Amino acid sequence: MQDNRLLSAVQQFRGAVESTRLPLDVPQAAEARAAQSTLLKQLDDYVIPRLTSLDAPLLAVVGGSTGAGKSTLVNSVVGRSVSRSGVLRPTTRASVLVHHPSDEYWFTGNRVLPGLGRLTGGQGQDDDPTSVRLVSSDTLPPGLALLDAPDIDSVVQANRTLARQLLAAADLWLFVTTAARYADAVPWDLLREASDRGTSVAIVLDRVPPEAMEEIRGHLASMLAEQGLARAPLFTVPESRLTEDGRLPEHEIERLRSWLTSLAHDAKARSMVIKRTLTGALDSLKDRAAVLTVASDAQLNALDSLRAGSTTAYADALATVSEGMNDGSLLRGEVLARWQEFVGTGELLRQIESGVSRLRDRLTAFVRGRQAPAQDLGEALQTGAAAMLSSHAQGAASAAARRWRALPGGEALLAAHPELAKTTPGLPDQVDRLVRDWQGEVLELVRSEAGDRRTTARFLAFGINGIAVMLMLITFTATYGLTGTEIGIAGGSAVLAQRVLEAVFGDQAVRDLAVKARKKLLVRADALYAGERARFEAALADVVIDPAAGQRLSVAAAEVEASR
Amino acid sequence: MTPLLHRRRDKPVTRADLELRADALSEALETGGLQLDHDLAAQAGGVVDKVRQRTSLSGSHTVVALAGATGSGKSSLFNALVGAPVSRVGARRPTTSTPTAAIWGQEPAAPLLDWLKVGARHQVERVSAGGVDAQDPESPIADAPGLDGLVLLDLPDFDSREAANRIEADRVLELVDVFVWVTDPQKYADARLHDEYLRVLAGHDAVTLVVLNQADRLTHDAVAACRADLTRLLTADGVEHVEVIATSATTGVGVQALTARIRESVESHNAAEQRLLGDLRGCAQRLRAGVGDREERLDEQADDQLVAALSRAAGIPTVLQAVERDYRRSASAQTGWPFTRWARALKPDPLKRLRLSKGPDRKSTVSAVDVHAVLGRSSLPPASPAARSSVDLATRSLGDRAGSGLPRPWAESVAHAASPQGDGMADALDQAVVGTSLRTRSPIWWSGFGLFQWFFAIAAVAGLVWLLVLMAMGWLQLPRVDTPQWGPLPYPLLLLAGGLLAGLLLAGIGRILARVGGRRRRRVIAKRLTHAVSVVAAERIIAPVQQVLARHRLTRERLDVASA
Repeated sequence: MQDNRLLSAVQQFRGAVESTRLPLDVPQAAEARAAQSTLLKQLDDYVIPRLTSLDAPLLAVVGGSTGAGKSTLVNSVVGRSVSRSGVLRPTTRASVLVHHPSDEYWFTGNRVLPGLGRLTGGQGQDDDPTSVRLVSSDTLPPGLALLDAPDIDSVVQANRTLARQLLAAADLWLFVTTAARYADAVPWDLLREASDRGTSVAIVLDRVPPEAMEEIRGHLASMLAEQGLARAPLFTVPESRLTEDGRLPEHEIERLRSWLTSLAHDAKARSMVIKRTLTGALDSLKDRAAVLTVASDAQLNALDSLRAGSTTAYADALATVSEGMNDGSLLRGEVLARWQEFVGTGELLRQIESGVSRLRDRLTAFVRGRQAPAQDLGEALQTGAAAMLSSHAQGAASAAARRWRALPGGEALLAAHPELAKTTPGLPDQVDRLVRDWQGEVLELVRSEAGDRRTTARFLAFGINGIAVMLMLITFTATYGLTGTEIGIAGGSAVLAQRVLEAVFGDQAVRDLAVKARKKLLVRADALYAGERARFEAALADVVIDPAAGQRLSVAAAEVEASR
Repeated sequence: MTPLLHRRRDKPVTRADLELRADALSEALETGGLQLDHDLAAQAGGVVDKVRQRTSLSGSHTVVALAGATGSGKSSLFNALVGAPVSRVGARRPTTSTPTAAIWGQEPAAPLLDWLKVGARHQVERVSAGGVDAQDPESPIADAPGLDGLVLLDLPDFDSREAANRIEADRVLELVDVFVWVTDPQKYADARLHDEYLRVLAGHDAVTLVVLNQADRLTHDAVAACRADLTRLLTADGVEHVEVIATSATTGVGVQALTARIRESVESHNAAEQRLLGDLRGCAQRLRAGVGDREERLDEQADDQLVAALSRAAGIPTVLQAVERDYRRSASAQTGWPFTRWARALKPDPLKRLRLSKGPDRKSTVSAVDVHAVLGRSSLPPASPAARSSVDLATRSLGDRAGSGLPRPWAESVAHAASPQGDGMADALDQAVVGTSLRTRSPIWWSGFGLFQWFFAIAAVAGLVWLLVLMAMGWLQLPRVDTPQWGPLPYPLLLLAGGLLAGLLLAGIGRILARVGGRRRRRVIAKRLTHAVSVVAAERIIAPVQQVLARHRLTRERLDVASA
């Protein structure tokens, strides 16, 4: 009952691990992904099958460095040539599982190592690292299976990966090393891990020169004690001439074989070994889940800061547009020239500075009775506003791209979506249409506000188009209301326009109109930039990260803890 | 006999060549600056320093290092080569933790060993003074002739649990001249040896020897198979033309052959240079991968698009309009109808309004010098957003074009150079406009027309006065004086009417001519201003881009020299 609950908790946990997504290339993401895949493999290869059938035979994986004599040892223990041994390194590339004939059904199915295929039959030339060869031998006691794993440290990367996977699936790790190898860094990293996890380990010190036996054995024993593996059984096999079959002399492996046999026969000792390793593996789940939780949260944070990066870039652009509307920078150059054309000759304007009110009369008198060239001024305004909107859109796109590049995970996303750094191809047309629509809106605004004033002389002097253009003009400057002497030419033109409008509509109405017109343009600009920003959001939407994944992992890990 | 020997005889490396390459690499690092990969550049800087230090050490020692995994028998081999138990040999792993040196010959090696920071030194003494038969396998190896100048190092291992050993081995390996990789039948396929050492040092085949030690543990056939397998692995690492020497420190097999190889290196007195050459070339080649193969050729002159955009940004259309109007105004002041000329004075000088008017010949205008003194700039309106974004567009496309085909850091640097930051550009453009003379010599027809205008005006006034006198005389009832007649018309009337009509006609013709002339003046000035702007573009945009491209070319050439 308890076991069933634990099993279902572990399966739940496995689901949580599998559903955790780490798509962004943030620092440590690669390590976390590797840890995730290792964890999944160990759950599938070992923890779940072992929990399902606690009485299945004990699986002892023979692992170690290349050239340590693993295959020779397996052949000698089994008393048959089941695994290829030789002088060329690495010798073993595929794994061989030796079991008693009565245990066969435990291994033929996909109960353990479901990711590897099964081969049966004789020793072929197959070097297929994706399958395991099953050998049935009655020289091995029932209740114990030996798995000859590839090396952990040769130039063949596939061997190293497979060996680590197989070691994670072991009930007992039979670590084979030699007199020349026993201080190597790579196996000790694995031994440290095994010690931390509480995996059952037995050590075979192979190929020891007889004269140095005591010295090396003592040294290795002290190193093991240092590592917390003092209780691990240590077997020594002296360097000796192999028999004709390429096996070790019987008397040299007698101790190891009898230990294995007694382990196989003694159900209690066997279950202790199994329990120890299983407990170690279950203990490790919490910490490994925590690593994944942290990685998953890091992904979420990275995603958030990426989103914030693009949002900020476009918010900045909108703020700049709003500022550009206030400081009157739009009213220079082309617009100014057209305005001067609109109100008369440029020279007239010179005197505006000296007395606006007197001039207004002269001006209105000057233009009264003929259609003002409002068309040109409107177009100049349109060009200026459109240029401002597009150039800020472009700036925001490259600023957002720059931000992303500096953020973890952003570089890879940009590489996948190179078009993000530029604006949408049709943006200039879109902006033109936007400004034109806005101008239409302003025209409508003026028309509705004008109401019965539409017949007044001043209104007639400029026409509804002229009035609308003047409204647009003062929308682009915040200087209205200023009377200081330092109003430049641009400010002057806006002041003039404002005076004219005030004469038509009245002071407060003009303010309201200007605020309304400005707000309408900003709303449109906001919508435009939101559309541009959506491209970044869409790129982020492709990145599927479950925000609850971390939480789910922790809960599942806690449930596993609680079920034990 | 060996490819090692042949190649060395073919191409001895001189110190001058090394210095040339080191200088080239160091120059490339300087010119490449931040555009080079930071880590590679730091590494290359270290190599340059090392080359200078090593070549400045006097003497012609050859430093040969025995490097390898723990337990491969480096120390045993070292002792066999030295002929005395100098380095401690043991079964405990790892045995050696500090390097030991053995020196052949009388030449003082202390400065070299100090530089190598090797403390343990052993002077190899000749057992029998001179004349030992090198071919005699029984003679002590240390006595073999031709080894004078050899410094043999026994290094700590690089694969044991003792990380300090690896650090020390790596440090010394950076400095030695000849690598002797000692491995054994157990360890020859270890990932660490191949992936982290042989593959990385693949450019040094000329100074690489590979030894398969402990050959006595295998049968003759097995040794041959192992050697073949190791050779295959070496080829896969990129280390070619290196023969694997099978040795046994225990039986002495192969030690003679190894000595012979080492002697070849020592006698060539060129191994140090070979090693340094390999380092320099390796660094230069790796850096070269971050540099493009060619640069875009860029004209000294800015292209039309850029100049047009800059002209707009500089407000040149405004200036040209003012110039044209100024011409028309001046022409009308000189050739206009004298009776209405006074009205022109009310209109301000358009050039003066832009503070561009200059020339001491006109008292009323502000000279360019005054403008500089007071403002330092013209009062041209600042560039509109549209103009600014077209400049952006033009510079960006120039940057893209110039940077095409260059690696990213360089392309970014080019793009940066192509887009001048801050107000510097606007200021330079303004200065270009202010510094350009906007006036040309007044046309001759102005004075001609003016003369005629005065003549006609005087005629008209004279006619008027005459008529008035006649009128007054009639009013005063003075005796009638005969007025001369031309046909039916009296002369006074003719003078008045003719003067007025001819003046008006002349003014009309002058107006038409002024319009034509104004356009011509505009074209002339446009040419001048365009020239001034293109000078600014060449100075501010093209030149910095050219500079980056030149830097790139120099870096590329220097790296090619260093890696040739």
